[in-house]
Amino acid sequence: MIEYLAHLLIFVAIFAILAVSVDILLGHTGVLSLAQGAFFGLGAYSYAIAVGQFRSSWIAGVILGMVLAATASLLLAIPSLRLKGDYFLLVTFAFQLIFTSLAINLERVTRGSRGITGIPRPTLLGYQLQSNSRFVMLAILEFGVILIVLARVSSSPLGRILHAIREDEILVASLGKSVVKVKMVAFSLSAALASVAGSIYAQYIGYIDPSSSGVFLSISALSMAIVGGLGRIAGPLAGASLLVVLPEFLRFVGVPGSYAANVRQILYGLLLVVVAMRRPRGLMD
Amino acid sequence: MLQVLVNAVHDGIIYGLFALSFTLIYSTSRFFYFAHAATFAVGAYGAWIVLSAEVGFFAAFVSGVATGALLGLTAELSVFRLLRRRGAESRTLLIAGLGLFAIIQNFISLFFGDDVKTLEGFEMKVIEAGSIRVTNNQTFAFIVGVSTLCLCLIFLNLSNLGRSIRAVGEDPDLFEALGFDSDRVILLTMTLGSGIAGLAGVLKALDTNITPLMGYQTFLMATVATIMGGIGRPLGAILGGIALALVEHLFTWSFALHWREIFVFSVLIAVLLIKPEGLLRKPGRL
Repeated sequence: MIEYLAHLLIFVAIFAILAVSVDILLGHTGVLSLAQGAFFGLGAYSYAIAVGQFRSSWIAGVILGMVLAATASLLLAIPSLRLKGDYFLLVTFAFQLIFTSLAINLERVTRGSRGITGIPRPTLLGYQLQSNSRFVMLAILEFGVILIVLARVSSSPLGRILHAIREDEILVASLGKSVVKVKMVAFSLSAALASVAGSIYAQYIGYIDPSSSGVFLSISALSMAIVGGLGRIAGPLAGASLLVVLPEFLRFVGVPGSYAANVRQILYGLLLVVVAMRRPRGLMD
Repeated sequence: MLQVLVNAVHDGIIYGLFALSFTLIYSTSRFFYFAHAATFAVGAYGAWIVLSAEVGFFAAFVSGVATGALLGLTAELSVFRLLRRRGAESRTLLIAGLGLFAIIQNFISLFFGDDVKTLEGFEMKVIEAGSIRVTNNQTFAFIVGVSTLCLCLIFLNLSNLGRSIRAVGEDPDLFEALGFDSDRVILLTMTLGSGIAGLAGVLKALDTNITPLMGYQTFLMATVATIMGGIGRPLGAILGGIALALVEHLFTWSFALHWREIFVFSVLIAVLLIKPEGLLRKPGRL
């Protein structure tokens, strides 16, 4: 029982971090993106390869993922962040599809659709975190750190500019600030956080494949951030908690495992539609 | 080489249909309707399920189109119209559309399973003309596709309803101010557009297989084609679709197939950076 609760908590922590990455971009800066799944996957795969194959330390694996994600996000952002919202969204969607396609096709690196197995759990002070109840403490710690980062950024001068951009880009530009540069900072920060979530996921599950980082993960992440409340510090945690725990009740109702993933996605999509209907004038309060 | 061109034109017509339907919806409803990607698959599955009931191909074909249209109609009436009436901004509509996309796609997976299905059109016969080989299904798609595209263009340019659609796309406030009902036009466009998307899905299914995710890549192609042709330009979208298919087939003929997305992505970035208003010059209204 404890292992099951710890498992839930770990998932909440992972997806709360992913939701934070969405929130920084959408909730605080007002930029919508569908690439979270790709950055999550980038973090997961780089961790899997660095730690699983090359035996580096788990911290190095996570940092590698962050660096790769931030770099990829900047490469993506440089030509496209100055475009209008819809176009930028399309570019991120294309990027997401590219990532999935690369994950499937670069067999020598990613082992294709079969995925990478045997990713080891991290070791803390020489002690490997095999059981869920031990791992959850690390996960909660990591989430805690990220939450503090979010709070600090939000109340910092950078945070103020992000919020200003969310409200009125043109005004910010007219005051002489480079909107594009600031958005790039937010975007790369968001990508790095998403990759952390991916790394933790990889080290927890021990297995990663292309399907765990597709478009639906991006939509799920959006759903968690939006349902939880955009722009609020507690939002991502609330959204992730709800959306991780709610589908668990499906088990008790008797939905078979093979359907569970699809039903979960339908639930997330439904929540998005419901929230949109209840707050038509903007998903922020 | 000629074979590559023939295949490209076939795919291009499907992209063109999908792009046309998307640009119609985008210009009238004024938001990026993501669930359109799912409509493609819905059309294919709608045809498949009727075909499995052994009612004949024609019935299956019509159901595919009808299912697509029905989806658009329902989505507009139950979600988007309500949202617009409550003053929703386009981002909210977009997010609702994303939610719908997730719901519909997963419903398809749930209901039909993720396995690959086939849509048996005509009994597969290969027609050889010189160095070119075409299946009769491809010929069918070509004929149906081209006719639909022509009918649409005629409708959009010559009929009153068609002109209303273009009017709403250009200036919705003026349209309303003149006393016309834009809600009705939007409903029509959504239904018609989704029907065409369903049609495109059926045609695609005839050529390749049916999987729940079949809409994704074609959706990306269609949206890039729309941008290439200029948003709100039906002819532009069609030509964009064909052009994109041509370049895509030539590209994958020289390089490997799975670099396709990267290729499309590069085209997208290039167009957006260089000429975001579309590659067609402005000859007037089309």
